Amino acid sequence: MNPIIKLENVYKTYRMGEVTVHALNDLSLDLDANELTVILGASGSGKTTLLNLIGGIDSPSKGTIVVDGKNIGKMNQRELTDYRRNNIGFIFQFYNLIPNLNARENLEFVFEYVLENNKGSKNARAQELLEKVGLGERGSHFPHQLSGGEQQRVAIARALAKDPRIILADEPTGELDYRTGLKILDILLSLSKENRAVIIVTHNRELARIATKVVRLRDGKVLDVKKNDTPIPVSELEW
Amino acid sequence: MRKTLLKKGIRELYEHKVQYIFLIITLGLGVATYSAMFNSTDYRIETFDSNYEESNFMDLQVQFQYDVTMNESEVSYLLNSSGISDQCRDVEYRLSCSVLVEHSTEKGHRLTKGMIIGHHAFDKEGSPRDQDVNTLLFYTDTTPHFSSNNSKECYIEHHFAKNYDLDKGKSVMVSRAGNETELAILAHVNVPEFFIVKQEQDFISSEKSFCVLCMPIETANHIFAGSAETNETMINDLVFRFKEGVELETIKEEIQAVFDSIGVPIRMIEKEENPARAFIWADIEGDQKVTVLFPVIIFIVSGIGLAMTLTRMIQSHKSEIGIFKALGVKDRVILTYFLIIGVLVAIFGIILGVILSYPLHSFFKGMTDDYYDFAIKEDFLNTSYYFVSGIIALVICIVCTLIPSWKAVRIRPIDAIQKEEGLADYKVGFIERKISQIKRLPVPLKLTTRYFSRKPFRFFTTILGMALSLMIILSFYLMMHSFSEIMDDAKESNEWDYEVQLTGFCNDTISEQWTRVDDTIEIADPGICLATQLTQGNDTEDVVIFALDDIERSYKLDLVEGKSDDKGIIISGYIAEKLDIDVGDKIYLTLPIKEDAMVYNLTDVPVIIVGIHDNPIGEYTFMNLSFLQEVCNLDGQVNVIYLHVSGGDLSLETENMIITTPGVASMSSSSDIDDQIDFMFEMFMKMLVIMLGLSAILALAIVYNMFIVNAAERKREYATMKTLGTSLRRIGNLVFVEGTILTIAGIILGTIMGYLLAWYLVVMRSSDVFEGISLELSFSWFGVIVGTLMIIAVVFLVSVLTIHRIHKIDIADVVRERGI
Repeated sequence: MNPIIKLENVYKTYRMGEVTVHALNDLSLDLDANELTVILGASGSGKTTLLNLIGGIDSPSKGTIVVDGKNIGKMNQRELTDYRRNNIGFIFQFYNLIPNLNARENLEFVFEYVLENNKGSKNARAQELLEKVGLGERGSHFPHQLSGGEQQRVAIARALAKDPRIILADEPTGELDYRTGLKILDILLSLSKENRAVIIVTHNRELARIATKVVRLRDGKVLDVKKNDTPIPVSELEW
Repeated sequence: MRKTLLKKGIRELYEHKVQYIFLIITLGLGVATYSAMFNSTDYRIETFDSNYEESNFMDLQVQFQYDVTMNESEVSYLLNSSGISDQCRDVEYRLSCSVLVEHSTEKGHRLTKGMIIGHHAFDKEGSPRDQDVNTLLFYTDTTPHFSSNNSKECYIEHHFAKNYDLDKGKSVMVSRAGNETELAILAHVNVPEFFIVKQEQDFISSEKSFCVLCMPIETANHIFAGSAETNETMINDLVFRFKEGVELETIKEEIQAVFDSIGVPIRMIEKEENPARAFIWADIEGDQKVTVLFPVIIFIVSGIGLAMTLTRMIQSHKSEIGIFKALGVKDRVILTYFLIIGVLVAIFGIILGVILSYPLHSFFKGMTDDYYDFAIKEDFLNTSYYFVSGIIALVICIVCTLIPSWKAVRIRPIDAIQKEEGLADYKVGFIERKISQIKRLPVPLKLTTRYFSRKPFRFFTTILGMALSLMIILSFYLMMHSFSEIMDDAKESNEWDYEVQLTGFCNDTISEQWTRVDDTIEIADPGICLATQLTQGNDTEDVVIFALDDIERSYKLDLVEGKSDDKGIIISGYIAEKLDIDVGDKIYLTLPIKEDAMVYNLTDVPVIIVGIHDNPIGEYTFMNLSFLQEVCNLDGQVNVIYLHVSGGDLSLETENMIITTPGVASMSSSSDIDDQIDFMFEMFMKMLVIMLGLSAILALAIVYNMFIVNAAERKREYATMKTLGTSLRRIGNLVFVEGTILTIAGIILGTIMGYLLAWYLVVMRSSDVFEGISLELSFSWFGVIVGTLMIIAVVFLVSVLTIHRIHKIDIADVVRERGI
């Protein structure tokens, strides 16, 4: 089976004043669909940079990133926008909901302004997604009226609104309490079973126990990649 | 510590340079317009003062009436013996009289009514001298003197000479009572009594139809007396400057008594009664009352723009304030830091303002010079206006910095550090709640309206900024438009092509010869034109009566009430309102009733108001000629002839024939009035362009800063949208929707404000400046369209710049930032 995401000899360097920082340093990695991949690493290991490169919001300095057979490293901004629109669902640590749209409208925004699909009832589709993340009754609430976990669930619903093949989650439980964190992880796990690649970036080693694949990064390089044939249920996680 | 804060302040300015540059431009424009416009008004005052001072302008002029002249030595004796001379600082003995001046034009030789003023050009020792009173001012550095005291040379009044290219080396032919004298032109001069060529009866300047020539008194005597010239120096015109402390009224009585005692009829004209001087000062007074409001408004707009941006800047530094406070920095130090930024902005703004004020001042100065064209042009600059505007700018900056930074330092450090605009601050307002209930509202509109309802202050101030910019241009345009409409109406109410004024009452057959000789004269309408008064109870108003057999042939009546009736008077709406009278009412008209040949008795005659007209010149009053002649015992007598000419223009020969007809005092064509109005329009257009430019820059600075502040604040929102895959075009749509809503609101508010300000300026402020004129604000869609297009162009440009900025957002960096 061909991997859905293939990174080969990827470098990402930043100039910070007179210092050159190698965020990713000759990194190669294959990621498959139907997998929940957890990328572990300490601060500065390059895990968020990796996520940004896969998500098409940043470009590699060197190397190739092939997603679904297309080298996104060579795409221009317009092509990257299309790529993100059609393939990627982002879930951020700080949720990044649009503050002055309520939960339902945050999803409708995606239908109307991202997918530019005005056919059918946006309202019904948004409601369906909210129910999927357990927020059917909270659609009319604004982000500030929702708890962190609820906001993150809206963010997941928003990511799902595009029905993406890849879901990228950057510290999705970082701002949440234990119980809420479990709920979010449960949703992400179930999404990985819907023929999607779900990639979670975290520094929380405990999360590796629910993943089917665990990638450890250090200093911008892959330290190891482990297959986990016996992931535990989310409810058994502890941190 | 202060040095470090200063460095940090400078770095802050550099980091957000574009935003601060616009801020500095806004402030600079305030300083520049304030100092330039006040300076240019002062420049005019100073220039007028200098010209009047340099010319040793008279305190009083005494003219002998009815061509009476006296021996100079006799007058000198009378003044000495009566003690009047002792009270005088200077007195100038002159001979002046009306003449016909023949001069070359492009079309041929033209005859123009004019005046010669003869003065003592040499002292007793025979050296050239300047006049002690009403000294002539020259346009050259050196004074070109007459070759001898009876030389056939003259100085020519500058404005007239300029119109007909009558320069040094050319000559004019002066004729009086059949005697002709050719005079060589020595130089152009500014004649103090005619700094603006305006006589009492003139509505506007008559610089094209009145020629003033100055010459040695001996030459003037020769022209005046012709063959009756004697060896004595005759005079008929005295100009006085009195010593300090001399009571004008008292000395006038003494002078009157002296000349009464010898039976010489005199007319005394005080300094302030000189028509040119009165016109100039009325003009300045009007400008001071009306146009100087604009720099103040521009400063207010600058202040608002500045307040908005500085407030926002400080709010965006909340987290930095939190860090400062967490480090234990005192509030005073934090305030000092922001104060340094405010002061730096003020300093740069003032420097820019001072630099910009020079070209602006030169422009306004140039307009004054073009319009008045005085001999002395003062190089005047009042630095106190820079100082005042600088202080205003500094105060604005300090207030705008201190208030928000003081509020900011009062917040808890943890709140400041954790969230710049956290969810804790987020309150759902009434509007937001209502909007969320509208299900079918498109997302961009939802986003925009909610954002606005969340940030009402910024929303309002951005709209206000746009509205104020539009207000400046619109109110200025409407004001100028209204004045020009009034002038246009007044101009268009004249249906005649030429107005021939007679020296006094003459037989109405005077024009018969003209129509016989020149068949292009279709109609010669004889009439009576009288400046008199209308009285109703204790109230009296000055009016000018135009009496004609067929009024509507020469004047457009525009009756709004009543009808043109043979036995009554038609007054203006302005007078009707002033005297609270209406059609059918009886009023008293002061008329000269002819008692005997050359004997007129001023009598209040009761007349019935038969109509009210709409002419903006409120003084205009119309009557039937036969009725007026009957009331005044002036059978067949007229003092004005209105000519209707096919094609509008008379040939030069006919003009010369008319002007030389005995009894004709002056002739003016409606095209001269048109030319002057066109010239004023030209100046108006120049001013309009400047105001449009200023408003556009102000609007650009304010709108740019607000959009950029919005974009910066919503950086995460836009970055998230981009991460989701929203195309730039779609994000651009959102920006444009916001811009459109702001623009519509700004235009509506600006139009209302502009209209109200124009109404205030025209109807309220100008009514006492333009006395006798019915001032009404006339609305112009063109002005609204020009202002609106300017605002739309500014918003469009700024929206494009904002989209470009959003395009450049590094989404990878932004989405990871902590926020809501």
